[in-house]
Amino acid sequence: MAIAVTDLPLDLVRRGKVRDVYSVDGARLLLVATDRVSAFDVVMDEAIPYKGAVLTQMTAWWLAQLEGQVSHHLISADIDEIVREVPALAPQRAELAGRASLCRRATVFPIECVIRGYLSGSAWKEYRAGGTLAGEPLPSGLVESARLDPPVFSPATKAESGHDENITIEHVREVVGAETAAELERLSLLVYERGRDIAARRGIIIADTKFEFGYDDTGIRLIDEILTPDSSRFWPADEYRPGRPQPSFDKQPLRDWLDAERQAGRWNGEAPGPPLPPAIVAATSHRYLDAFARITGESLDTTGLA
Amino acid sequence: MAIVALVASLAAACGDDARGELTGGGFAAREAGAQAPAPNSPRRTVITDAVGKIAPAVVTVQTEVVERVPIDPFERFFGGRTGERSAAGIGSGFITRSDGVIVTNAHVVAGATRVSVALRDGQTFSARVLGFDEVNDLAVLKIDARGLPTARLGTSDDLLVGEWAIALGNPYGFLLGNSEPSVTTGVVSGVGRNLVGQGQGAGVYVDMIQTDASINPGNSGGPLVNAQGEVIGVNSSIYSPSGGSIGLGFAIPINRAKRVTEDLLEHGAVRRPWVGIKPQFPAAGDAGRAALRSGVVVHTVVPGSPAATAGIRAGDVLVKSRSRVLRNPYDWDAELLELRAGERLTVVVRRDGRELAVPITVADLPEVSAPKVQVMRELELLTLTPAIRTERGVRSARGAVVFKVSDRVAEELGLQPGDVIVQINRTPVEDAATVEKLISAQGQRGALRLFFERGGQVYSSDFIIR
Ligand SMILES: Nc1ncnc2c1ncn2[C@@H]1O[C@H](COP(=O)(O)OP(=O)(O)OP(=O)(O)O)[C@@H](O)[C@H]1O
Ligand SMILES: [Mg+2]
Repeated sequence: MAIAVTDLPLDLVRRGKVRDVYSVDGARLLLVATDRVSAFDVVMDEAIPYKGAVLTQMTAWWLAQLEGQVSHHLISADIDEIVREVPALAPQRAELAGRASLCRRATVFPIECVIRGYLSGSAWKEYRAGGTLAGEPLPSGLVESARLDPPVFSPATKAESGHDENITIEHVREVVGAETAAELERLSLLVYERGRDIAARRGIIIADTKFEFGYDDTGIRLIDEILTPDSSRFWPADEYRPGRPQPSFDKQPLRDWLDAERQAGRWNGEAPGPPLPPAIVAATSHRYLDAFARITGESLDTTGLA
Repeated sequence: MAIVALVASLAAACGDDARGELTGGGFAAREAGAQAPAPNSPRRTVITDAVGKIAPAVVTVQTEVVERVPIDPFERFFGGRTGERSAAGIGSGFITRSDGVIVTNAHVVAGATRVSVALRDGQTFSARVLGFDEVNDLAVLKIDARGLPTARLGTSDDLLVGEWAIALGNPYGFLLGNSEPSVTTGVVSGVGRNLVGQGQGAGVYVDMIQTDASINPGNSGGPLVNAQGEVIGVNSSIYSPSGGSIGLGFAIPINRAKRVTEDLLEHGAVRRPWVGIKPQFPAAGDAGRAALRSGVVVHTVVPGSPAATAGIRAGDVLVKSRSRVLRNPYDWDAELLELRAGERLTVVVRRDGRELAVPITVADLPEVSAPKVQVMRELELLTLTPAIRTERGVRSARGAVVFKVSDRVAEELGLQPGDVIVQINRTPVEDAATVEKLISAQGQRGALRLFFERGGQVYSSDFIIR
């Protein structure tokens, strides 16, 4: 069964488009990735089976790969361990299995650390307009979706509502200080490059991604979700053709269907979204599972998951 | 458990009966000039209304068959003979498109050298077989006509056990003055029926509609309709015991028939979905019966198949596919019949006490996707590979699989797609290229004898290249 909303006996910190964030205590948060899906900035009414577990377990998998190289916020994404730590959650075990992660609470830097390995979306727009990315000049003659080597740190503000705005690295320095700015860039590039290489070998291009960082008394920590289809642009490598926009590995069936609905005049592009047909829900679920299986080399463990 | 084996032979015997009846004139023709009762007649019922709606779309399918008699596989090395026997067959069908697309059973037209169709108004047409699918016992015919009455297709997804089921056929449409269909009625007795045959040659027929409406060779291929006159199934006598007198008739669910028909119309062949999982069939006895409820144990994963790519392993237990709970291998068979090549499905498997969600992308059966060798523009072949061999249960270790045949070759050699050519004259066939070589080298020098495996038996056929 897919889960769209959670209601836990903990203080709700926020409900994002996809994730519900709860406070466990002063030092810890519980992040729950639900099965909600958004497209064109609209959260759909239907939940996508397994999607939440894919996001959470993929994040956990990447962090395991990076163990020792980056300090991060994850305590556990294993439901047995989480229930042991927070016994109040025992009744909701089936709903949380796979989806929840117990994290160290951090003070969040108000910056989205975006890394772009391919020229797409707002970065392509900026480049087309003035030949720059994040305010820095790029070589001329690049086409849409071109690979960027080395990848580019292209930060944005964390907007509470609406779209995040691209900012310059100079701006980041002003907000967090030069030393931290350099460290955030270094860590972002390190994690992205690691991810890009692993995914590429398995048929997925991670075109760009967004990291968040925070700090506590031990220093800077990588927080939030990491290199998931929701925080990144995943492209199927076998369909990669520079010079045009690329299909999305995970959301293309959903987007294509929504586009058709819009063109047929059945949807005005705003919330609420149209009811999704079961075939589209199934196709989207399949894409998320496929992304997980390819990247981690293992099928998603759904034991005990409701 | 022996039902199906029994059924198959009875159905064959029955076919002869029907013909006997036909030539012997042992039936009452409707009298010319008989008055139909008024629309408000109390004799009109939901049944007569339903029949009235569907009847114009029900047709007679008549065939001429030249049968080849199988020879002993060992005798082939000593030049064994093939016998030939000519016979006529009859069955029913229904029109699904006004430009002459007709659905019937595969067994009605199997091996036919000529097929003709008679409409309710007595017009007869010669028909082309656009494609047929023996696994599902479905065939699609085409006649050159326009503006024909069509059958309304319903859905078999929401059948109610106990709702009316009306089986129509039109076995005698070739006889003037007898253009009304024959109608038998009953109810939907069950859905999702899996029939298991035992012994050699007996098949497994899954996910069938069971009805107590009589289903016989005459109405086989005709529609099974609900009380609204919508088609819910295709009658199939090869699944049904003789005459339906014991209240056991079977029909192929219309949703499956729709899918197969679409494939046959679009590709001329059914795109066989390929997953590459061979389930383990439970042993007899209590343990076996328990195993029939706890999932599908994977016995073999075909190398290179979608299941292998997805990481399914022997020993895994499939418990769910899409939204279908899998209790036993027959549930899996039923699932396979609904899958389409290219479809993305998610299977839940149990492994080492854990459950995993495995995404699988269904492919075309390897025959469809493998490269082909063209022989004389009439025959498309591909080399038998271990994957194809495992998948199809081919006994021969080497050979060339027939992928497509021209009508002429099909007619003259009796070859069908799926046959495996294993020998030409005295030379064993190593691969698809061998066939080409042997035919072009020896074709000049007179007759060739071709040996092929079909359904586990070896047949032969003689031909001369012109
Ligand atoms: N370790 C942490 N300490 C404090 N805050 C954290 C930590 N990890 C993640 N967060 C915060 O949790 C929030 C996650 O919710 P968010 O609103 O991003 O959900 P979402 O479903 O991703 O929504 P959206 O699509 O709008 O981003 C983010 O604001 C993120 O900064
Ligand atoms: Mg977020």
